[in-house]
Amino acid sequence: MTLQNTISNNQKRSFQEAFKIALMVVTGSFIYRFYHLPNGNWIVAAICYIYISGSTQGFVMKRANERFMGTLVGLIMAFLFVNIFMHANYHWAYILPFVWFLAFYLYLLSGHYTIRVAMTCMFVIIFSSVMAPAYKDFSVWSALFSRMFATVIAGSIIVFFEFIVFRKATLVRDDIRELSAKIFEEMAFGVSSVTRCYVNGEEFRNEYWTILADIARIYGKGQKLHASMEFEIGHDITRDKGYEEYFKYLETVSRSLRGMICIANHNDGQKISEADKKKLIEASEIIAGAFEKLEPYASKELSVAQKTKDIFENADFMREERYPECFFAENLIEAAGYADKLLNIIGK
Amino acid sequence: MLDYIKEKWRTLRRLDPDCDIFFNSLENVVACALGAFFWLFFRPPGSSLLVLSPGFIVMVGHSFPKWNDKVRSMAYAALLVAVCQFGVSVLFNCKILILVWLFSVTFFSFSFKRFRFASAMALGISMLSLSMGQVNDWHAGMNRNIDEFFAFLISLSVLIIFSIFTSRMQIRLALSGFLSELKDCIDAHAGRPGKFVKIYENDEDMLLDSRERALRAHFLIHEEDYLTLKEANFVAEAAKLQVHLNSISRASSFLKGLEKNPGLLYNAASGTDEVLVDISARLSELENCVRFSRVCKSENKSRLYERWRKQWESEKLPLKFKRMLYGLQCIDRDISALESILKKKALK
Repeated sequence: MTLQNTISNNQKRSFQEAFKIALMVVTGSFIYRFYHLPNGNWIVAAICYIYISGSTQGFVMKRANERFMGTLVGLIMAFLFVNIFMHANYHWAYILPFVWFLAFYLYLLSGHYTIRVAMTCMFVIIFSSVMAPAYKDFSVWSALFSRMFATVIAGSIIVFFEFIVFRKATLVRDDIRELSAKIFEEMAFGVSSVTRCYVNGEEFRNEYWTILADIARIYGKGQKLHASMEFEIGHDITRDKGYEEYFKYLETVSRSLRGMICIANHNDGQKISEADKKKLIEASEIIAGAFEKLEPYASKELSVAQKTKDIFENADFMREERYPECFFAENLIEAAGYADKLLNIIGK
Repeated sequence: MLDYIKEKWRTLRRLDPDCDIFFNSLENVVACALGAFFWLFFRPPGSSLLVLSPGFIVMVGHSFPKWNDKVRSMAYAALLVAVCQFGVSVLFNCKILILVWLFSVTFFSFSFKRFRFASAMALGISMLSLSMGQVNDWHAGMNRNIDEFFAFLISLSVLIIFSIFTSRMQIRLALSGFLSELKDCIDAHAGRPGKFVKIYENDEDMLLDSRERALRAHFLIHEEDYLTLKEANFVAEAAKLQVHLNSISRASSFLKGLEKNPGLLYNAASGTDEVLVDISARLSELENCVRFSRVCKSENKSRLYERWRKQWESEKLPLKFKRMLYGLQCIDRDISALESILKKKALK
C-alpha cells in the first residue's frame, strides 16, 4: 500500500473506528442494563475516556492498561482517605477541589494517564460518600468493588473488539505512514524554498519558520505513536529497530534543514556566483524530488547522496572551503544521505 | 536545602515553563466549582452532572487555539451531551431503542476526527446519566438540556476571563523559558553544565528541549487568538523577539560536537572561551528583561567580538572548527538584534 493510498483510505478508516467504538459502547450498555450491574455506567464511560486521545490500537491498549492501574490505585487511596480522615471529621471533604486540580495538573505535567484516573476515582468516591443521603446505606467498600469490576469489564470489551472488529484499521503503522507523508512533503518544500531564498539573497519570509515548527510537531506525534506500538496486539518486535532508525534519520534531516535556514537567515548580501547558485539549486531539487516521490531508488540508479556529492565535486566554494556556502552544501549532502536511508527503510 | 528547593523549582519550571498546565488545571477547577455552586444554589433535580461538565467543556475549548474553533467545539460538546442525555432520559425504559440510540450517537460523533476529543469527553459524561434511573423522563431530559446550556456559558466565561488575564504573562514566560533553555544548551555545548543545568547525553537531547520551547512559543504567538487590542499589540512585539530566538536555536546546531572537547577549540581560536561566557551572561540578562518586563541594560562589547572574529578568520583552522565559530558568530548577531529591540522598549 502506498502512502497516497493510505491517505485516501482515511475516511474509510474513520468510519471503521467509529463503528468499532459504537459497538463497544452498545455492548457495555447492554451488559450493564441486562445484568443490572451496580455502577455499570462506568463501563461505558471508561470506554469513551480510553478513546479520547485517538483510536490507534497501541494508544488504546496502553490507556486501557493505565486505566486499570489508575482505578486500582485511586480506589485504594479513596478507601483509606474516607475511612481514616473523613470518618473522624467530614471537613476533610473540602479537599475535593484540590484533588480535582491535582488530577489534571499532575496528569498534564507527567503525561501519565494512571495519575489522572487515580485522582478522579478518588474524587468520585469522596464526592459520592459526601453526597450520599443520610437515609441511604452507602458502602464505600461495595462502591469500590463495583467500580473496579466495571473497569475490568470495559477493558475486556476493548481487548475483544480491538482483536475482532476491523483489526487492521487502527494499526499504528498506518498513522505513522500518514504522518510521514506530511513530513516528507514539508521537507521537500523546505529544502527547495530555503535554497532558493539563500541563493537569491531574498528577505527571509516568516512562513518558512512555520515549516520547521510543523515538521517538529508532526515528528513529535510520530514518536508518540512509535512508543505506543509495543502495546499493539501481536506487535512484531523485530521491526522496532527499523522504526527507531527511521525516527533518528528524520531528526537528522530536520537538523540539516535547521542549519540551512540559519545560514540563509544570516545572509549579508554576499554574492554567490551564478555557477554556484545553479549547483546549489540543482542539488536541492534532487533532494526535494526524492522526498516528493517517496520511492526507493532502483539499484542501478545513483543514490541521492551520490548525485548531490557529484554536483558539488568541482564547486569552487568546496575546494576553497569558502563559508557559509560550503556549510550550506554540507547540510544538503547530509540531508541527501539521510534521505537515501529513509527511502530505503520505506522500501523495505 | 535552599539548593534542593531551587533545583525542584527549576525542574517544575522546565516541565511547565509558561504555566499553561497550571492555568489549564485551574480553569478546570474554577469551572467545576462554578457548576457546583449553581447546582447547590438552585438545586435543579437530577443535575449533579453540572459539577463535572463545565470542567470537561473547558478542556475541550482549551485544545483549540482559535476562538472560532474553541466556541464551536465547546458548543458541539455541550450539544452532544444535551442530545445524548435527552435521548437516554426519554428512552430509558425502552430496552432495545436505547441501545440503538447510543449506537447512533456514538457512531455519528466519533466519525468526525476533528472533534474526536470533544466527542469522547461529551459521551463519557453523557453515559453517567445512564445510572440516573429514578429521574429519567421527558422532563428530566429537558432539565439536563438547560443544565448543559448553563455549563456551556460557565465554561466560555471562564475561558475568556483566564485568556484576558493570563495570556500576556504566558507569552512572557514562554519566551523567557525559551531563552533559559538556549542558555543551558549553549552552556552545555561549551562544556560548562553548571550547577542546575541538565547534563545532556547527546546532541539530539539538547535540540529536543529547545524544540519544545520553540514550539510552545510559536503556538502562543502565531496560532493562539487573542481577544483584546492590548494583547494583539503585545503579541506583535513578542513575535519580533521570537524570530531571533528561533534563529539562535538553529545556530546552536552548528556547535554540535563542541561539548566533547571544548579545550581544542579554545586553544585553536583564542578568545572563544571568553565569548562563550559573555554570550551566556547576555542570554541571562535578556531572560530577566523578558520575564520582568524591563529594558535591557547590557554593555556593548562589540570590540571583544570584532577582535575575536578577526583573529580566527585570519588563522588556518579545520573546517569543523570554522563551522562552530560561524555558529557562535550567528548567535552573537541574533543576541545583538534582541538587545537592540529590548533597549528601545521593554516587552510590556
